Amino acid sequence: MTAISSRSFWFVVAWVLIALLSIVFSVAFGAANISMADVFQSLKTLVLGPEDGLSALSVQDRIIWELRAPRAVLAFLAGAGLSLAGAVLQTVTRNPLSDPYLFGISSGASFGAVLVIAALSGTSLSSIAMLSEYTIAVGAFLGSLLSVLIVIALAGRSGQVERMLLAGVATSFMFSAATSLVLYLSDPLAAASLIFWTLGSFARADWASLGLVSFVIIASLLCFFAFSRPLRTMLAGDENAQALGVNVIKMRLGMLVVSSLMTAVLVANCGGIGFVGLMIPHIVRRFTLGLNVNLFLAVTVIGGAFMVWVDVLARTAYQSSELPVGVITAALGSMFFLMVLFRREPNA
Amino acid sequence: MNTADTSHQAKSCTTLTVDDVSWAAPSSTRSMALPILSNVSLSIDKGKFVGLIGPNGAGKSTLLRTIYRACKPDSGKVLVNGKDIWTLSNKEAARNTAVILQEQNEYMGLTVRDVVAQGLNPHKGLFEWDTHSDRERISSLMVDMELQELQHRPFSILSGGEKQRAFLARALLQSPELLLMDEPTNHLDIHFQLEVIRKVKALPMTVFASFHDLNLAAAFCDELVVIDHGKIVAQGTPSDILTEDLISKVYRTCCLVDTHPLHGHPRVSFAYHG
Repeated sequence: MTAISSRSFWFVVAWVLIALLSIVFSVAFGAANISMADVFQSLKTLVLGPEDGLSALSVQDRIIWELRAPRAVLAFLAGAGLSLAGAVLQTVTRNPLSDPYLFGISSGASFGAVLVIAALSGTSLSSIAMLSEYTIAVGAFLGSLLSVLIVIALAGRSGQVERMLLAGVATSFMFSAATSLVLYLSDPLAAASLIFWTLGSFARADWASLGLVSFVIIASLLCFFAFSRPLRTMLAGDENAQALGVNVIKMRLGMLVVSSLMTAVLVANCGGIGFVGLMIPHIVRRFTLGLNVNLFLAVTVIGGAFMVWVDVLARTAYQSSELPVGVITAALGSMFFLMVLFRREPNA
Repeated sequence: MNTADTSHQAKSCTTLTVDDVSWAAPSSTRSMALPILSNVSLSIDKGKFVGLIGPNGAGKSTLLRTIYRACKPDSGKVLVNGKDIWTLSNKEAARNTAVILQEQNEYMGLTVRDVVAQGLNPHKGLFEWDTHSDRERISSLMVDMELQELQHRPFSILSGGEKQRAFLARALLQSPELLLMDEPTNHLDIHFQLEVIRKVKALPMTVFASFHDLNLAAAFCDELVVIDHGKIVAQGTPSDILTEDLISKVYRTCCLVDTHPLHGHPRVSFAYHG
């Protein structure tokens, strides 16, 4: 027992360290040539304080503090949030294929985004990049909320897993059809803009928007942490969990709402990055099997660290231009996942 | 016993009372509401091991489901320890009644110990983690149920008998007054059937369990309740209940009832060839 407690403790400590170091080290990678020494130099300047505010910072410092650092933090938060949503949804639906986009959240977001893009493309507003970017994010957020509302309205009362999953799939297709229709009827340039929403990117990260994102992720993590015992109990099946004192339907709906809100905020900020939410919880379950580690905590830290390095790859893998994050998560993720499945001992 | 309980002294020897309970399957799944339980009444005294027998579709599982609150009766009441179970919160109800079902789940990534620890859920609030004494209790239950070697293995690799023992450990961790079991010996070979039933029988707890195997029920139960077409047909000791008449009527199969040569309880032999 004590051996397991101490192994669990060091597991958490090691991963928290890996996650923190990942964020710091990842800042050294990208188009502009910045070394690790520069990063630490810049960190020292910031901690000790420049003499007269931001103006004293060099171009290099500004790249680090205004572009790369918020980007690394957003990548961490997105990885953490998506993995967390996946872990929670897999638990409450007892379905290993559940992911954060279960409720058509990404197709709802795409629909909202494409509506905004189509509406703006005819007007002079499209030239004001700032405004349209924020409007697109708001459109995406509203679109994903709409899809969640539809699914909950359809499946809410009975709270049955099957109904929920089917309602999610149907809603997802409905929004995809609507998106395709709008795209078909509008400017070809709108289609190019939409790619951002389907593949994802952290390029727009800035400190201002990180406040909201980190608040939402931390609040959701605390919520899942608080409910982790009844959530674990829900794995016993609906009737067993009910008999063990869990209000199964309320718990399932509540957790769906919280994880959907969290996902919607992330999608509005960095697009629909796929596969992380499906894959990370499975990998973390294997890492932590037999350890006394809270799954939700482990998933947050490991999912976040994973995404930081995916973004580094997105920035550096392909010479001058950036690769879409979603392409890398899907490619890397599926290969790693297949490898894990292949090596998996039966029934473990 | 405090003074508030003294008025219930007469009831204190009754753990479970099912009072005139009826339940029909909701009409959305069938063209008409299908009555499954009709005016079921029974009571079980504290500390008794009572078996529920009856043919397939008689309403055994549904009757148990009304007692662990998976089905809300259309009419009638279920009392556990004198309290109407529908006036309790989920957690209060789960502290009174534990259940072991035949349904099997995957228990995604949980170890044997994690599954047993689910039994603490009704006793814990938010942010309330396992204490040292909780862990000691889980460990000692692991020893009682002979699972200590397996406790950190994935639950999904256990055999049927080991899973039943883990469910029993989880139910005991709930520390309930009443333990319900839906065909606890299903899919187990005779060794594990006896092992599980002996473990349950040794507990100082009121048990209400459904059985398909009449001989197993006769061997272990203090009393039997017979249900057929949603109605209670008889309740009494195995030797009163298990008559050739009743069995051939309820199960539509001819049989011979005599006395078990080793233990003296009734033994049922079915006529296999017409």
